[in-house]
Amino acid sequence: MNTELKLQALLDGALDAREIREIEAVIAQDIQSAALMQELKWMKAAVAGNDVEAKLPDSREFYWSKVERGIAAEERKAAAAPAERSWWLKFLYPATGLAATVAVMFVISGERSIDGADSESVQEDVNAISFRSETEAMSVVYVADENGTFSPVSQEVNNEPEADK
Amino acid sequence: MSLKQTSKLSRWQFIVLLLTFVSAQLGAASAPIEPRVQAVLVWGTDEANPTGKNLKEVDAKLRDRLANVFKWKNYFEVNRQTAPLPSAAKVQTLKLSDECSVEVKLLPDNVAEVKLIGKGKALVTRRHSLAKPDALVLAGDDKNKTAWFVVLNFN
Repeated sequence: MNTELKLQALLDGALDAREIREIEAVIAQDIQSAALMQELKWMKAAVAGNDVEAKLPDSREFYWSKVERGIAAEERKAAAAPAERSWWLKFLYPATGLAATVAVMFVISGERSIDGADSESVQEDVNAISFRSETEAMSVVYVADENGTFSPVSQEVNNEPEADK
Repeated sequence: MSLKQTSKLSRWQFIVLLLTFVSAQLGAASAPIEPRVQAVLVWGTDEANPTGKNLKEVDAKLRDRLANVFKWKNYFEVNRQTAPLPSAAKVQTLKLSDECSVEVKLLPDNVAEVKLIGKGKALVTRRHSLAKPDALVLAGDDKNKTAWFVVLNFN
């Protein structure tokens, strides 16, 4: 501990008897230390005599009761607030959206796999239109024979109009 | 004594017969239903009574289904053929008229390949999923603003 701190400690009464004797010997021999000690004494006297006394506007009991009420109000507010979300809840909405997207893609791809089996190929000189009637539950391939020669029922039925005969 | 024995025997015979009958019924019930294909050649026309042929109208259910999709007023059944669906790699042919027949082949994944044969040539080859209960209708224009239909049902 340097001399200045020892002087401050002497002023505060924090030194034991041996240390007091030693620092007093220093003060007696060193003018600067003696001057510093004198300044510290004046400072202590000045501060001690001019401390601002803080006065509470309320009585002690009322002041602390206000503090207690404030703490209780904070606790109620904390209890009423929703609990902080668990970590997995933060992933719930994105995960739900992802699952829904995958489900939709799965359904669509499943339908395609069924419909994918429904395909047709036709001769070069034949055009065909295919469609499906959902209500009548039928898949239709309508053939347009450009040559117009295919008539599977013509020999079975007499569909020639009388005028053509 | 002998009467009593006769009575016991007949009771046992009855039980044996009953068990035989029940097991036969169970066997018949558990036997797999053979998948079949039915092809109906239909003529669609606005004529009420086609001349020259004694054709009968298709049943009301098929008529309604066709009429809800196509424009013709009347649908007459020209021919009807039913055959078991062939095992894999085999072809089942159903002849519907002199010019028209249908070849059906079973493919993997419950898909049937249907070829419409006209004048000996495959006009259309269609792969049809049997997973759906849909009927497959191959159709086209015929003479005098009429139409032909080959209605295939798989069950």
